[in-house]
Amino acid sequence: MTAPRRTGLDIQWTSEDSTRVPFEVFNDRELYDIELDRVFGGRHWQYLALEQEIPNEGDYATTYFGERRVVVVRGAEGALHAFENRCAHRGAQVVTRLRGNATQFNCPYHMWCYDHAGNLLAVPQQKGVKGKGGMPADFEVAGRGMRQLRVASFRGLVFGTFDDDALPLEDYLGPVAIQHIERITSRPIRILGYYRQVVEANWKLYAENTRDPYHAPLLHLFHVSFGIQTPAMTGGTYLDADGKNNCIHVQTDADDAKDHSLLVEQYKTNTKYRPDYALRDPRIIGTERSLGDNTTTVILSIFPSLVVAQVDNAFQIRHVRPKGPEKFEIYWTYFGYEGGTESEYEDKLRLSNMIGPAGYISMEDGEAARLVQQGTRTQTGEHSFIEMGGRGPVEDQDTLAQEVALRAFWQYYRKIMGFNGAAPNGG
Amino acid sequence: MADDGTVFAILDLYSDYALCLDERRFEDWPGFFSESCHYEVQSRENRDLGLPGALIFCDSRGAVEDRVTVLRDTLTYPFLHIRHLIANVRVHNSGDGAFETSASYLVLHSTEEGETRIYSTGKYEDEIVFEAGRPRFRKKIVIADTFAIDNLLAVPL
Repeated sequence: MTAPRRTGLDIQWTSEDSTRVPFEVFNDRELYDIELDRVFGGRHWQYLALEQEIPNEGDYATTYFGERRVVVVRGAEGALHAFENRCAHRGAQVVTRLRGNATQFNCPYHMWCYDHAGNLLAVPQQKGVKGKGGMPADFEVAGRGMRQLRVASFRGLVFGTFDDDALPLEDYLGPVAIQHIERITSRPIRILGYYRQVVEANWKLYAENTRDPYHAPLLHLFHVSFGIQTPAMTGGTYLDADGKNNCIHVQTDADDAKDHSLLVEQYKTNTKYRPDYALRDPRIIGTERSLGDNTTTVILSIFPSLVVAQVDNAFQIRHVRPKGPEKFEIYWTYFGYEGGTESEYEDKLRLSNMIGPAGYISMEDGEAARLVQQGTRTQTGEHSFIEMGGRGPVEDQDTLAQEVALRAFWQYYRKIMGFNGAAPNGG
Repeated sequence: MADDGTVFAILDLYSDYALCLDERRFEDWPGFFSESCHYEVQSRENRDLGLPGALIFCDSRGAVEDRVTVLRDTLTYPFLHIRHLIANVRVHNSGDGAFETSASYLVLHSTEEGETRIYSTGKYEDEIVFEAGRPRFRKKIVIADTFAIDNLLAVPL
């Protein structure tokens, strides 16, 4: 007999340590609507843009905060503003282009006029026409602007929150995220392009994927064959204090040397390891390290929707935009660095083949999420099984053969969502 | 201006190119390129912003061949029936024995269960040369209007 379907916050968690995740969380509409409020809202900071995308006064870029449309704007004297893209009058979308520069914003519908911060400046016919109509005498434009976000920037990454009580941004990011953002922004960023990848899966499947070093050398042959990441390499996962922000890191060192016998043993149950495999144009591999160290992979996941990543020598920001319970978009910002050599720049053009929706490595992550969605979309009363790396409390890991950060994510997620009913074992 | 024979040969090249990919003869795909070649898939968004980052960037025949090897042997991607419709081919002008051409494309994907969706539309901006009397792409720039890629881009456009 199938258990009666539980929805929303009544979905049943069967393990305190999140070694079991109920499949309903990937397909339940009611739960998704609550997430839009508690995850993509509440006291969470979300990535909005890079400062350099809006360098001059009046420059704006549009983005999403969950499913809400948000505009981030450079104001006078370098100020950063963000507001929800919705007229305070009747709710029309005010800013209609993706990016641009504006001295002010006028709603297309009735020309209500807003400044760079989203404050209402003027309402046409406020005093009526020929003594008739118009707004009531006590109407004031002050305080009637578009809904504004609190904005803060760290190392050129602009974040916003709707909650004035949210922690200061750097406290929200925490030491793990700060350390890795500082490293990846240790040279001035040069934006090379954007990619958009639309995946028919729940956004949390991507949150799992980016916290999972176990899959990397198994799903992604490219990793293994060219020594970008193998299970034998040095690496692991750093977790922040409350589990929400996590970082997978991998380093090469002299000892990794291709221990083929070890790899052959590890890959004996599949066909993924191809020591005979060679590229005809190998210039994509072994490019000169932009940051000079021996780190080959960094996947920094910042709750709920930001990934700052290094895959081999390709650096990216990935912004996850939910589009309903069974769809999300990854908005990639691919970047290199200013001030490098022409050869570094050309390397980066070739390295674009590794990332984005056509990337030798990252195209498969969307497919993995889609496959789980297909496998679980009608499931109720069943759950995933997450025990690589062990059970119980989560802590930092110094191996790649684990998926502990998934459980860290789920524990934080469960805490802020506030599911009804206790899990067994007192959870 | 290109003579009629040249134009027909170029039209045939586009038809053969579409069939090659639709029939999943991926190993034949690099043969549509000249020995020295450039194949690139750009998003309309990056193109309009003047940004160089490409979805696919192959600046050698070897890199084109590598795409096929990876596609055949390593990548995990869904099986789909593919249909390329290429239209509005124009041969713009010629110089140094090469022909600059443009065309519109529409790629449809159909699942193993027979459901079809529009996968991608956009344009080609190409340079064609004749090698041993046969037309080959010396340069093929795919500009995808559909740059919000549906899941992934594995099979070339």
